[in-house]
Amino acid sequence: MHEARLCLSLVDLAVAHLADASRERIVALHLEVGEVCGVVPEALEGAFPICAAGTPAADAVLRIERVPGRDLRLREMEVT
Amino acid sequence: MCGTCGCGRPDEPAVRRHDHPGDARRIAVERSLLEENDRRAEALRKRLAERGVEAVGLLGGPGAGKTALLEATFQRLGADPAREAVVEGDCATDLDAQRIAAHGVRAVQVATGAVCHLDAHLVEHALAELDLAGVSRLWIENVGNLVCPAPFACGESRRVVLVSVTEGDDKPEKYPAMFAAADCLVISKLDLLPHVEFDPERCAAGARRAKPGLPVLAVSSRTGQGLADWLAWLGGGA
Ligand SMILES: Nc1nc2c(ncn2[C@@H]2O[C@H](COP(=O)(O)OP(=O)(O)OP(=O)(O)O)[C@@H](O)[C@H]2O)c(=O)[nH]1
Ligand SMILES: [Mg+2]
Ligand SMILES: [Zn+2]
Ligand SMILES: [Zn+2]
Ligand SMILES: [Zn+2]
Repeated sequence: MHEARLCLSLVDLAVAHLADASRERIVALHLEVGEVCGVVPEALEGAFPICAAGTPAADAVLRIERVPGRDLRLREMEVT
Repeated sequence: MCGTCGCGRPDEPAVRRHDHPGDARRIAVERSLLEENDRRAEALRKRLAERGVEAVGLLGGPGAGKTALLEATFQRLGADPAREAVVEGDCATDLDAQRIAAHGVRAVQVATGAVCHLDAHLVEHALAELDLAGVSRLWIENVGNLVCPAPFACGESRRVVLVSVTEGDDKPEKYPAMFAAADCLVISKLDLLPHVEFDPERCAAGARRAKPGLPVLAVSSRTGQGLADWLAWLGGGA
């Protein structure tokens, strides 16, 4: 459940960085997930499709990199 | 469609990482997903501090003894119950708030429903229903859960994580995130130690691997053992 909340934040954050959300599609989101941030990558991946449905990120793939530390960070995204 | 990224290329191999030269534009974002909650929590902590209120978070698995520790604390504090207040987080019921209220301490229950943790926004809403006049310590008992509350600050100045001896001494090794975000580990239900296999040293060592130097206390809310150390830690301030 908390992964769903974080996925909603992720989608909001990503869409806010688009120049034109009506035309652009996000194809990939590159995330850094801290080893001790309390978030399970598989759970993020599971929650993402529902959270992203109907948004420009609907078809985006999550590229998750595990890193040391407690942060959970959207590094960059790929947009077409 | 590409099974990896949904990009619409029918026969692309489903590899975990691939580039689409030419057609995709990269946008650097570099933002934390936790920062909105962190911002709210920090603003809340400041607002409370300005009113002379310190918030202390209580976390741990379901039934670790969080509410019992509060009850024992209120019994032994010998202080004015009007100086304490509690935000109780549980998925359902106001049972814990009722237990607190029985000690003459103001409490507000947050029933989180399907949400598995409190966050700063939920606590802000709870505080709208809690009169903090005269209160100097606000307890925030999170939903019983050793995983999900870890990344979500709630405006606490200090976070206490409980592990009861009946849960097993390996919990800090298995759930390091919670301990990395802790300011104190309380090993609870110490009166049950003779009945279970639990090595307090191993538990402490595991927690300190996640958070070097973490203070570790051992208490029984039932017998009162260790509560003097607990009250001393509490009085020590942030
Ligand atoms: N023997 C013994 N039992 C305890 C102690 N502390 C708590 N308990 C018992 O453990 C059970 C759970 O205690 P609670 O205080 O409700 O635990 P909690 O962490 O608040 O539980 P949730 O809010 O539901 O997550 C109750 O049956 C308590 O009586 C203790 O120090 N010794
Ligand atoms: Mg409780
Ligand atoms: Zn959760
Ligand atoms: Zn592709
Ligand atoms: Zn609100």
